[in-house]
Amino acid sequence: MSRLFKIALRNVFRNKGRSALSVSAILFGVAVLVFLQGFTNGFLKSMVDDTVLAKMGAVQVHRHGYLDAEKDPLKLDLPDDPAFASRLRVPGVISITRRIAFEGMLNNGTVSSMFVATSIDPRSEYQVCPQRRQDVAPGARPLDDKSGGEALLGRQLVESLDAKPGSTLSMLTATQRGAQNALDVTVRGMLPSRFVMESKRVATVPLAFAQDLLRMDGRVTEYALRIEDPDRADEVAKRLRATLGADYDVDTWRDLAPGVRDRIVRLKWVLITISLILFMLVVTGIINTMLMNVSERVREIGTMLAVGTRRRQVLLLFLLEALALGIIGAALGATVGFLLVRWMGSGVHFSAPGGDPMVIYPYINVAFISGVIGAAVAGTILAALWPAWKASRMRPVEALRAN
Amino acid sequence: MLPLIRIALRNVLRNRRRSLITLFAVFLSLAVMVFIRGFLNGMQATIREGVIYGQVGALQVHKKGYLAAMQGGLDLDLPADEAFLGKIRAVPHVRDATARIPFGGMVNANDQTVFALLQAFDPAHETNVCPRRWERLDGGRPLEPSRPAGAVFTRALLHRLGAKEGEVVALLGNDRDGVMNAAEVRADGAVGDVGVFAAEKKIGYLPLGVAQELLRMPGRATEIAVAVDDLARVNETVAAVQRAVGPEYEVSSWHDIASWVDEVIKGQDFVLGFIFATFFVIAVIGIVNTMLMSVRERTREIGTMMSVGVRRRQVLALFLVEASLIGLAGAVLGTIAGGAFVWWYGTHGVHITPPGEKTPFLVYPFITPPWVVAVFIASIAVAALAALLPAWMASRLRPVEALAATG
Amino acid sequence: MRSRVILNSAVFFVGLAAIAQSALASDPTPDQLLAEYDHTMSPKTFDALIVMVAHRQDDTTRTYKFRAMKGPEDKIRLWFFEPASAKGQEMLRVGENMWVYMPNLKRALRIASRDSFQGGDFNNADALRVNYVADYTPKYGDSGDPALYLLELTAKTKDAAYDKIKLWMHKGDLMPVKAEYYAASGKMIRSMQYADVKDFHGHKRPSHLVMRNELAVKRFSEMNTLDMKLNVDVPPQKFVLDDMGR
Repeated sequence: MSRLFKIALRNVFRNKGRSALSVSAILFGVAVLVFLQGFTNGFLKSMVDDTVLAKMGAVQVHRHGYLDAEKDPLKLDLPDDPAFASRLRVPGVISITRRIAFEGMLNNGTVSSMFVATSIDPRSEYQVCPQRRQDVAPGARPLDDKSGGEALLGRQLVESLDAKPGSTLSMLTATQRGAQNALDVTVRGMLPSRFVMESKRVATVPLAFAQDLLRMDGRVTEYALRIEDPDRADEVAKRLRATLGADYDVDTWRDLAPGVRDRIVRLKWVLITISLILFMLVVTGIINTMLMNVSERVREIGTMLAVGTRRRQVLLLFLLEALALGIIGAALGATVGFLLVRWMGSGVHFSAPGGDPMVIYPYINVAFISGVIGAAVAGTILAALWPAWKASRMRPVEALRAN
Repeated sequence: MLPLIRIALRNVLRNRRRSLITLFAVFLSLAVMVFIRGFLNGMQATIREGVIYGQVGALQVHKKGYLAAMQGGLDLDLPADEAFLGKIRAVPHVRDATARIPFGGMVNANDQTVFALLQAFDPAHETNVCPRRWERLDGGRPLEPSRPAGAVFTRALLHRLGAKEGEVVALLGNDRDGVMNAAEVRADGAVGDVGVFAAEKKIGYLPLGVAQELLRMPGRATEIAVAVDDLARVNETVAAVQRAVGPEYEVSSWHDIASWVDEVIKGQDFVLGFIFATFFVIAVIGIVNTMLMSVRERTREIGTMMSVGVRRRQVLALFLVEASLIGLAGAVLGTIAGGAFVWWYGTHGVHITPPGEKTPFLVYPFITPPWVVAVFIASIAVAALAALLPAWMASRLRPVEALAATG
Repeated sequence: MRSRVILNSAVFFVGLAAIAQSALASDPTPDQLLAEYDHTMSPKTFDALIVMVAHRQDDTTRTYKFRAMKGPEDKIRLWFFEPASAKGQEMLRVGENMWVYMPNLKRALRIASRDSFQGGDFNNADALRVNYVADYTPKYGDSGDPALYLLELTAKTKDAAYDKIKLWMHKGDLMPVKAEYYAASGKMIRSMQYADVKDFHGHKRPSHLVMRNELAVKRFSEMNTLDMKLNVDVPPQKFVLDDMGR
């Protein structure tokens, strides 16, 4: 067997031109498949990141019943202390931040407008949701740890109060215990207006400010977590539920944004199907080269059979050659594809028409590459099956006669 | 030219197996591309029509400033009487017009009161403008003129209230002056799922008359939705309706009202373009490979040709034509096959339930002739382009060496 | 000589008596003053006829005429007469729960939030709900006006609606003149002005109140009490849901 393999290898390297043709068919096919997968991975990841890293966080923790509460949600609060936060550091969790959501009226002294606010802690928020740094209209900077009584407000909200960046407004709301409280707030900048209904009333303020206003020192309503792999959010959530018990609700980004989750699933299905079809096309190319392998060497085959080589050995020889070609082609192709993905890995800028410009970071994992190499090698051997069988079935006399 | 084609054809048929396999690759690519494009067209049409015929209408009329004030406020109202609606209906290409009032209010049952998004429709005309308005009804009856106190609620709302179908439910709202008023309706129907794009899950649909009484605005509405008989000419109709109603009002097409639809579709087309590019790349690789093999196989033949005086240019052209023939044949067969699928499903319709939606979409795939022609020409051009390198290599062979080569 | 001593003594004693009398008529304690306010403004029960004009920030006004019956422990019931669109409507509030009775439906419905009652027109009247004696500790401040007392009230618990209240009252008749309501942050949220003291069946009380939202001063309400009977016998079933509409 090893002798046959040595002969196979020698055959492969002997006729460089012919082998090059076979190898190139496999090489380019594998490279394209690897690149497509890398690109797809990056595309899907950016879809997830837009949801997860933009505002939400991969996992959120609330007091049980908070999300469904119709009244007095502030009473369903959580402790804002490192002891509680450390309970949340289960395996997979990278960073933790806290928030409070509340509503009230924003006043300019003469008139008032309703608002819905999220308060964030600038020191930890951007580690959990880095994209939130970009969540400001051009010309403004995001909240930082020096933003004492500053707020980012929706454009319509600011305009309805005849204000502009730098104006002072007062925020009136009911505290956690139900008393009225009001604090002055400076307009630091505006939030980008994605949805018209939203920009009418959105506000972002620092957490410390909210805790002061709502008289909730040392308390918050939400913990948001960043985890290593957003795809494995469910595992992390399970661990958290086990640690925290029934008093707390743990939700993943999939629970909170099912629309995104569904879009991603749909896209994955489409792309898997496309990849399969492409793989089939690549295999047809390989079939052609395998056929050529046999047809070019008809006389050689005839000679082999005439000098007593067993038919089985002829078949095996061609299959081994296919194996060698497959391995070389797939390995080279995977390398090319991998390098391409790495080269683009620093970011492909996309302005999908109609959408916001996004950046895609293609990436590929070893498991997929091994899979493609394996599939390509298997495909090559399969493609060579029939030609090799035909070769073994040749009649030596006719073969020797052929030109 | 013709003899060249004949020779090319004969050459192609000489190695039938290889040509067939290459042909198959082109065939499969084309068939899949036509199929996917057809399906996507159908999906996009369904989404578009779902929005137009299920919610928005082809165009809408509001009091000027209503949309900028973000659909708040009953102050920016307009007439909902036959005179005004008649003016709109009289515009050419307008099929029907119907009045609506979307507003926020409270729904009460079992001593529970919750805020909900309320939509008031005219049961007599709403389904003329939005025939698919009640597609998502999954229990009971829709709004009908014969039941002036019959309403439809989402299951999320009914569940929140602890109310069941058939129960009488009270609506509380503030009229234009801010003074409270109340009305009673019966939950005659329920809507299960409002789709992944809806922001609010607690929705109630009530007859226009009930809302007009509740909000103390008889004969008025805040929105008029209009159906047209030719969606492709909607912009012209918008201008015509604007002229008919005058400058006090603003007329908007569905593109403006539901602008996200265009965006979603553009995004999908973009992804599809990327996928097609990948197909073309693979096809190019396949053709290049095939042609290289062909050149390799016929080195002696090429040498012979050139030594009897065939020009290099002609050798190049020959190989280009051979590739183009395969490309053409593959494109024709692939388009026919893909087109057949599209036609068959397009006539019978196919149900697709995308993950996350509960009601299946009914999709009618279709392809447009201009697109088919474009893809066709592209395929042939790509095949020829792919063959360029091998053909050039063939034309660069030195006759003496070529003749000396072994088959 | 002896007459001068007697005269001096007389002057001394008269003087002493005068001082003693003014001492008797001297300032009440803060608690007493607050109790006086409560007695004037928040009797345990009352039955009143009121006209309220709500000024909105879009410069429109809405005028309501209603009968108000207050029961012990923060219960109140309203019957509306005007505007015509509100005629026959009733409101019942027991603690934090609110219901409205709609005459056209002949039943009472719970309200989702206080802001939705009559479009928020009654929000400014929240200041009247404050339970001063129970929730606030009074002390004297410097009113800067010799005719007025200033009571500074501090909330006893975090549950109180306002953190601090300043109350100016007339030294003579102990009628409230002005009040300012402050949040924990120190910002003034509401203000109230009391005027037009009238005698209601033997009880003196300001009949005209102006309640203002100090953060959005375009929002204010005027309340005119047309008639008021204090400490009436109020049957408890008046504050029960079933009684609405009778």
